[in-house]
Amino acid sequence: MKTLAAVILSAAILAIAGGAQISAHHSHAMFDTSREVAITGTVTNFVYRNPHVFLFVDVKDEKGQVQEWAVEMSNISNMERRGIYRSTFKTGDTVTVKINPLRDGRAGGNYTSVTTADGKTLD
Amino acid sequence: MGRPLTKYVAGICVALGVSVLAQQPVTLFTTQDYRKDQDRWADPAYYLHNTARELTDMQVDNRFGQKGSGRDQYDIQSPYPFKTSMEHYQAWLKRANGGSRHTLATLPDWDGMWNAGATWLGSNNIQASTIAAALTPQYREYYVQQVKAEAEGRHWWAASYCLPDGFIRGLTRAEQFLVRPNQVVITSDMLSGVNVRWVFTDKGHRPEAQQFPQWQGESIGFWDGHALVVHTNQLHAWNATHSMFEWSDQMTAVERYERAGNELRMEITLYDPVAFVQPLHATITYTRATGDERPVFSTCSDTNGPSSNIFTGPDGITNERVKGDPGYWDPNDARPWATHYAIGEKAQQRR
Repeated sequence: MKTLAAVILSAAILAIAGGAQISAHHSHAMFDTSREVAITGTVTNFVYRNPHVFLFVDVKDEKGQVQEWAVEMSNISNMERRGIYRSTFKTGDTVTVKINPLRDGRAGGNYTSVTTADGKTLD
Repeated sequence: MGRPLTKYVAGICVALGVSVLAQQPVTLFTTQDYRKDQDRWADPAYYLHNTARELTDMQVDNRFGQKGSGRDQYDIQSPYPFKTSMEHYQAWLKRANGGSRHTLATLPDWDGMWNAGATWLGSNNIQASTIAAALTPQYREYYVQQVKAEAEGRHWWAASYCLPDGFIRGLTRAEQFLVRPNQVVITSDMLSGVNVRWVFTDKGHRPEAQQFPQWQGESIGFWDGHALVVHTNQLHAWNATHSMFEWSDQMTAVERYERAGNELRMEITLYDPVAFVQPLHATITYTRATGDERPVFSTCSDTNGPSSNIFTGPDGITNERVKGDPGYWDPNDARPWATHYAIGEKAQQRR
């Protein structure tokens, strides 16, 4: 498994403070809430379902290799409150997502905010 | 000359430090074996004055072992003198002169979507020690095992595994009350499932020989004017999770719902002679939603995947796991969270 640093071309370690606490139906212990990472890539799928909405994003590393990241979001009600709907993301959109990454370095994390293709930041 | 003195001073400091540490009372965060700390389990200091919710969020919030808020805003003991829920229910039925008879036209208007307000049953603003003190010795031990695991991020939440949230968490999410002359149907969108309770107002409980544990139990009720009184039994023993308590299959409940303006006020008294030292009590105020809120039918498996015991084999044929297979889910495991906690505790002993 590649390390987080090697995988993300556009990653930036942004903040040390804990990320946004989002109510969840399962534990968030697998996410590193002391770190916030930004990934930029292309939307491959947007699964708008409970109990958790998922955004899948293809991210290129420095060698040009593409890895799909699974970005876990909150539930549908919380997404609607934040102005995120099924129509917000389309396959092929370029997005930047800030996440608390998985602690073990796999390509996934829990979102804290997202910047859509038209430049809106939603959190 | 300076170096021996420095060593001497350092030695004293170390000795003092060790002495101070040795005098520090053991806490949930420093204990070597929580099972040996029974005399501390009801002491707020054992949990460093953390609330149930603060313990649950501790690892995720990166504040393991830190002092909590000490908030303890609820009296969780029942204010009523009744020993059993049926005694309680019958007393209120007698007070209501056998209950009010309603037609569709005279029933109260409880239409709309309702949002539950704060309650200690939601694990907020209640100290872990307060809950521990309300439990019998066996269930107190279960509780300390749970909150230690929660504080360390070894969470076990039913919905994570696509299991029902159970009776207590359903109360904190009730959203719709469909009032009919013969029954009231209470539904909740639990995000990972949908809870439905049927409260029969035209019949009693099923005969004892036909009773069995159910996720939402079996509920009967009567109208006291425009207040609904509910008795629930046949509850499946389960765990409210999030540093809350476990209950046995002996738990029963009496609820009372009454509308006041834009609020639906509910109180519940929980009886469980196996798990609770004395009956517990909580209130929840549901407020009618003013926006366009709509429930969504959801299943946990939408994103968590299908049952772990049923899978598609490499030959494309549906197959099932049996005991001993990797990933097997044992339906005979009455306390699956304890199996989960034991894995972490064994790992800690190996370190």
